[in-house]
Amino acid sequence: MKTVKIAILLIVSYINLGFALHPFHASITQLRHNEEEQLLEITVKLFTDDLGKAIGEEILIGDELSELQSEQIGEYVRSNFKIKDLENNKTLNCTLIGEETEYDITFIYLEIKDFKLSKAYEISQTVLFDQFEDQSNIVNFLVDKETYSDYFTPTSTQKTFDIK
Amino acid sequence: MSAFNSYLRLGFEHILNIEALDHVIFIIVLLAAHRPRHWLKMLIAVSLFGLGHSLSLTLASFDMVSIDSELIEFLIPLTILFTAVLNLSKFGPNPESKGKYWISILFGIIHGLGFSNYYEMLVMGENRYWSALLPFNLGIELGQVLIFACFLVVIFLGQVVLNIKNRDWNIFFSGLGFGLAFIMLIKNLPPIFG
Repeated sequence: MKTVKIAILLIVSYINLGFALHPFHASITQLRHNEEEQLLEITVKLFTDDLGKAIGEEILIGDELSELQSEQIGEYVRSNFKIKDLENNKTLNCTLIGEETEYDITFIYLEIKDFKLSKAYEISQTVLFDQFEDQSNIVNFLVDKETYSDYFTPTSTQKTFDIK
Repeated sequence: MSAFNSYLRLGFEHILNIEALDHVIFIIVLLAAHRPRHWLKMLIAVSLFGLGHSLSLTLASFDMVSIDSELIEFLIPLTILFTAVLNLSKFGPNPESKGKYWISILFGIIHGLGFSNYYEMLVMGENRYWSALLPFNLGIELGQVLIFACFLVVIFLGQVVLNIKNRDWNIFFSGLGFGLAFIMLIKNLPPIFG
């Protein structure tokens, strides 16, 4: 009887942990041109539990990230975002500023220093494509009051943004 | 591409995602008891379901409702189970019954609350409603219209071309929905039952 009880408990708790939430695999990246400080401010918004999978650890809602986890996540996100200035044919270097977790969402902040706006960029946002086939990443590029946007999927990882 | 289009596409692709079938299954079960000639009634039911979504979207976007996401994920399969069982009662196939309309709008609100859990992910900065939530919801509705159109063709093929009896048809699709929703229900049991 006891074994049956334990077995049921195990099965149910496995089910609860594994499938509690409806799968919605999406992320939002916002690029904002800060003309005054000559910066490109980049915010990447992701589901914390998805990031946990990407670094090979289970992170539950409400968990605080350890320093090592934060570092790994930051590096993981940075390495999946690439931006190239097509006008000057130059790949831009992103610096990791930090990260912040709010309930089930983690924000990763990156920036590009000495940023001068050019006419076209090639952007690649492949974050979490290594984890989920149905992951969609939206990138919004804010310049003045204009928003340029594109939609990235595992089969379409690179886009050109023409800035007018 | 504009941000509007990006969010529209996200909503559209989400509703058609094979792993997020609950909304599709609900629509199929909602329509399972109807005969092809009642297509207008089906259209009204699906539209009311969409209206219910939009209602909870609007409430959620102004932070007027906030419901535990685990509870919603548990309620969604219940709405399918309930509709499937109702289809087998005398109200199910009755074209005069207005009950389906009430179910559509009420359950639309519940399914919409399920989407509202994603809103925190979607929005960033200003103009949350117009540039992100509205197009995301429109994308979902567009996806649903497509599902409705496809299922209407299937209903026509089944009940008119192949001449399958409406009763058999109803039992087949209500049973399919019931089975799938039952699995979902077990998977989404809130921890209090664990």
